[in-house]
Amino acid sequence: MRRALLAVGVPLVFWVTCASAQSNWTPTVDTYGSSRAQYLSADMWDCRQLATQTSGSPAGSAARGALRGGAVGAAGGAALGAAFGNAGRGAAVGAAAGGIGRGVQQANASETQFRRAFSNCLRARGHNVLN
Amino acid sequence: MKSSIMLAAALLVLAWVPAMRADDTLASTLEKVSQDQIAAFNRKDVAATMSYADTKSPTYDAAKDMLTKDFKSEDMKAEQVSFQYIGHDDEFAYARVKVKVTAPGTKGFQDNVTDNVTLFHQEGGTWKVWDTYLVGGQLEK
Repeated sequence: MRRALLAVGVPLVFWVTCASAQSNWTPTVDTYGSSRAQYLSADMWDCRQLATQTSGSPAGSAARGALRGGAVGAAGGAALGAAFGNAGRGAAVGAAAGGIGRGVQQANASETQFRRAFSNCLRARGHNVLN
Repeated sequence: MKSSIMLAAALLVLAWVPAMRADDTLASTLEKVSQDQIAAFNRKDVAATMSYADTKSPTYDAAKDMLTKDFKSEDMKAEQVSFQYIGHDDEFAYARVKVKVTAPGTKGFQDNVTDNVTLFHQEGGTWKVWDTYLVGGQLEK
């Protein structure tokens, strides 16, 4: 059981690490009848990296810098809660927090660009992207 | 054939039980680190709070700076809502920790419960907080 939890937990940690630097949004892909379905995971990975590179608008870059630079994780969950509760600094504790703080608002333009690039990349690789 | 299966099962149990006990011990140790760090946070003691953090953590200095500023200006109280040990590898141990933070009377602060994955790392033979990643959070009305 604990091994199973570890198997879930370790990828979770790495996923969260990535999420704090860029959106954790993932396009919805219909794999029904797709000959490319087996490549979806690999293509998702590649396209996420490419989309991240293309979405570096000045405002978005600043927001992402704040997400990384403002991390206070060594002080534990209490410190994150302290940052989370302060509306002005909420964004500093991670994109996964979802929708509070000026940093997140500034990142919206970059986020839209990221999503568009992500979807376009997958479509170009033959996947049926629904959104 | 039967005896060899029984022997294999017995060996499996013998190997599994100590591993489970070791995990339970580690989980208790880590939970105490988390609780003690929160207690230090509630005392507004920066040095004590940071004594539970690994000094080599990339967020050590930023965390210390933030606490120094916050403890001067805000009166926050933290409470560990839950602690769930996830597991460990040869370097880090992981736990999911939910923490409630309130600051009665502090203008602009919203009480909240954050859901975090905390990474622990040994420094000088003692488990310390390496980093904490926010999985989600709920602002209270």
